[in-house]
Amino acid sequence: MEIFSYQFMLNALIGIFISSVLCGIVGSLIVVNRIVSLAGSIAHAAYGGVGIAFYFGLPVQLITMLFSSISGLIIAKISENSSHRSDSYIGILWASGMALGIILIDLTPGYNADIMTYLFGNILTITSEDLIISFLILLITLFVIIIFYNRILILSFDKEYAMVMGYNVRLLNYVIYVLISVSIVILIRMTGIIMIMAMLTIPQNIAIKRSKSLFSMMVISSILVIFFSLLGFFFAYKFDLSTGATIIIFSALIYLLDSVYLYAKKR
Amino acid sequence: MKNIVEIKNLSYKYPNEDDFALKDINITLSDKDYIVILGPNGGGKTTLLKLILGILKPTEGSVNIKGKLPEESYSSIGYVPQQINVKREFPITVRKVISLGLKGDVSKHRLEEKLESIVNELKLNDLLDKRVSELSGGQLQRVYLARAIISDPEILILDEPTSNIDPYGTFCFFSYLEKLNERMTIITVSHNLNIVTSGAKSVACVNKILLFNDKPVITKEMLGLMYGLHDAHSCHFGHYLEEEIEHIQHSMGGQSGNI
Repeated sequence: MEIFSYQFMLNALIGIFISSVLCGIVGSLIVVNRIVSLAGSIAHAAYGGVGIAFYFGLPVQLITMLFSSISGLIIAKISENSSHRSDSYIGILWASGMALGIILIDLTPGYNADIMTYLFGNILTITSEDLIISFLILLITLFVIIIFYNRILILSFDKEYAMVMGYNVRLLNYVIYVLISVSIVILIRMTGIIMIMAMLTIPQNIAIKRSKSLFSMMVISSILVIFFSLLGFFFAYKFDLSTGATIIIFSALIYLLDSVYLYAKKR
Repeated sequence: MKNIVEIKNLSYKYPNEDDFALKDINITLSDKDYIVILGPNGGGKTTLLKLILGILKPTEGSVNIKGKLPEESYSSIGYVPQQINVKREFPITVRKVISLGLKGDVSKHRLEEKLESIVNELKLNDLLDKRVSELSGGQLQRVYLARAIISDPEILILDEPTSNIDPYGTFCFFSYLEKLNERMTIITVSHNLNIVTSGAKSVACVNKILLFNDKPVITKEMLGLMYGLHDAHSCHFGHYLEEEIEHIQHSMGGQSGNI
């Protein structure tokens, strides 16, 4: 129990709980809307925001959220036009956001070890201030989901039908993309930009097969993320490994076992 | 009879495209009309539906539903989309899909009442708690039909409604549409010529332009337009088209002029 005697460990555990619930909700939206590659683009482009914040000495989390939201809105706008070229534009944004971040960090004097936590994740570096921002983002996300649940459900299940029902599909879509963008910045702390998509898709793909509603998918996904994260966290602590990578490996292994189990059950 | 749908000089061009997808379309539908819109793949049938539904805005001309713009008339329209667009893996039950068709604020009691009535009518009782991924093509089509008509719309619009249903299911589906036509106007599109059942009251064929017949009869000109041959009489395929019409008439039980 010595693990709980350190403040940074307690922060990390609270951070895991907040991030996991956020991950369960936002990841479910990403999976059911079939926008995994778009979310990947937003996550990687977010590094541009990290670069800007470091270069100009601004608050990293807030600036990255702002940058990420703008990237998310650009991607939402591009994806409205379903032509084949939108895929290329998303690829361009993915790489150029990342490149901007790398160059600005190159230009920033000195070496900041914190930069690596954005790429590969390190929940142990989470501060009390980060926790407050994460908690606020979780509250806002829950509020939007509860208030607009039926509309988000219709839009995600059948966009054309949502238009026929007279809903403002464009605005609702933008709201979903901003939620995803802001949440991604919170989640980067846990697994890093490189591996974030695994946490936004693996638990959700296990949950979707066992859910009869979007709500239950969000709940099951959140529980799974908490489980994977705690398992990975304690294992990483015990064997002195990278937390993010350990969490992902556990998630992927359990997903593999689950797929084999479902395949065997079907036969 | 009052006009329900009025389409005047309607043309539509997709953004960044040089050619019109639809050009100078005119149709007027009255209350309780039942029109089948035929056309080849890529001929503009779904585009026309999207313009009627208000999902797309006309480049030229106008669409009016009961004298209003389509986007102001959503409460009057029920819509059954193509099955190809359905997200089968989505975690949602049949009960929820159908209840999503109710527009505006509806009390729980009213929802249960409407649900029970529509579920009995379409024999969906055993499917209510199943996920959409567990349904067959025919069952899914009945669920979508239930969602479209649960709010008692005045116009029912169907996009390729029988593309995933077996022949018997198709027959039952159209028999039910005939019954529904007693209380609502029906617009259905298909690329399948056999879809013109005895229930339809008029036929249109669209392939960029539109030919309309106020009787449920496919004319040679329509077949010519369907196959991209604007003058069927003078083309090399004239004989083939005669055979095609005979074949369709035969397959529909030899009903003269009512294929």
